[in-house]
Parts: sequence; structure tokens; C-alpha cells
Amino acid sequence: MKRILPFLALIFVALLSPLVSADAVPLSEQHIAVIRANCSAAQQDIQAFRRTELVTRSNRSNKYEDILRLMAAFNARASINKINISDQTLLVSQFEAKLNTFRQVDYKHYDEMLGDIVSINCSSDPVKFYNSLTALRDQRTVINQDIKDMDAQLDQFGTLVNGVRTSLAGGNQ
Amino acid sequence: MKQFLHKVYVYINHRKPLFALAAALCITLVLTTISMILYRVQGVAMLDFSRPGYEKARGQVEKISTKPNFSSTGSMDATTVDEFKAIYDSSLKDLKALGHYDSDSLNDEQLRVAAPDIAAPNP
Repeated sequence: MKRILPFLALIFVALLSPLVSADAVPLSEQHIAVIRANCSAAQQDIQAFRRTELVTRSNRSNKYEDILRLMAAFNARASINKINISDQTLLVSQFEAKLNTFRQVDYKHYDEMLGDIVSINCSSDPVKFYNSLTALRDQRTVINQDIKDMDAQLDQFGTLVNGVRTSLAGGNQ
Repeated sequence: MKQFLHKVYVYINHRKPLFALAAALCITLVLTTISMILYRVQGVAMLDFSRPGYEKARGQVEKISTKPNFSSTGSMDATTVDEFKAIYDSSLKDLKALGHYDSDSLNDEQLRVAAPDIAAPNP
């Protein structure tokens, strides 16, 4: 039972977390009126935006797969030729982990939030709509950070490949 | 009890097609429900461009990579690494041309939900 308790606590927190909004800013009456008047049009824009976001996500995902295949091929070939590629191998596994987080966790959550925000009855609850919009922007920042991290890893792989090239040109391998 | 079971057996036996149809429907319903749960839980639904409303988006998805492959076998020298680097850099360039989910989109002004003083500043 003692072992189960922390898991139960985690589940409880996870279930409650969407209900808690720590950074919800109080809105003025005028602002609420503006949101109420324009939120239906905003929801239509967000719905259209969701589709273009999904296209970007799919295209990015396909490109990442292509690059991952390239990296794996390079590592395999270098390994056959007895070239030390331990750093590259580690980097590829880190990249795969980050890619999985981006696709399976962060983007999935973002897409669910996009779906939720367009289903809110915003005319009757404009504050909920606006707070959801704020949370959506935060999640978008998380995705942006994932992409920056992956880009940095890919650049690092390029640098490591340059190192291999220098070694081969100098006949050190 | 035996008599009851026999009656049930006779009842079913006389209406075989009806019960076969009902059983087939039940099995179909269960399997479809399982498929739909997996479709939603595994995130396939999110990526399904065959959904209504995604017709235009479907055409924008790049499906096949046109990049040349780099063989995972063979010798490796400086020239081979140069060849790899050319393919790799080209792939990275294509990747970086795609959207970055930056903070420019979804802002209040764009969605016309900005606070009045921000949306229409006094001159």
C-alpha cells in the first residue's frame, strides 16, 4: 500500500492540475466584453490554425525521420570502419528521446488544447476561453523549446561529423 | 435445469440465422469499439488527414523524401564524409525552413481578443 500511495498522489495531482490555473490574470469588464464579442471568430481562426499546425508537425516529423536514418547510416558505416563514434551514438539516442517527447507528449498535449479551446462555449464563458488561450501559448513555447533543443542536437551532430572528417583527412583514424 | 437448457437450445436452433446475425453484430461492435479506443488513445486520430475538414491540409503534407540515401556500408574516407555532410546539411536546411511554433502566432491582436487599451491605443 505504501508503494502505491505516491502513484495515487501523482494521479490525483495530474487530475487536478488542469483545474488549477496559477497564472490566471483577472480581466477587466471591457476586456471580457471584447473577448465575448470576438471569440467565436477567434475559435474559427484557431480551428484553421490547428490544421496548418498539424501539417507543420507532420512535415517536421517526416524530416526528422529522414535525418535520423541518415545519422544511423553514418554511425553504422563509421562503426564498420572502426571509427570511434561513441559521442555520435549517444547524441542520436538523446535526439530520439527528445523527438519522442515532442511527438508523443508535448505536441499531443498542444493539439488536445487546440481541440479543447475551440469547443469552449466562449460567449458564456469568455474568461475560461482566454485562460485556455494563455495556457495554449505556454504549451506552444514548450514545443518551440523542443524544436530548439533538437536543432541544437542536429547541429552538434554536424560538428562531430566535421571532427571525423578532419581526423580522416589527417590520417589519424 | 436440463430441460430449460434443452428448450434454449431448441429455441436457438430454430432461429439460427437470427442468432448468427446478432452474434456477428455484437462481435463487430466490440471490435469496432476497441479499434476506436486504440485510434484515439495512440494519437492516430490526431494525425489522420482523412478526417473531414482536412482535405486542403492533406495536399500540403510532404510524404516521400527526395533526398539521396547514404549507404550504411562501405569504406569511409574524407570524400565519403563530405558526401554525407552535403546530404545532411541539405536535409537540415529543409527542416529549418519549416515552422518553429514561435510566439508570433496566436497573439491577442491577431485573434482580436486584446484588452481595449492595447487593441486601440489612444492617440
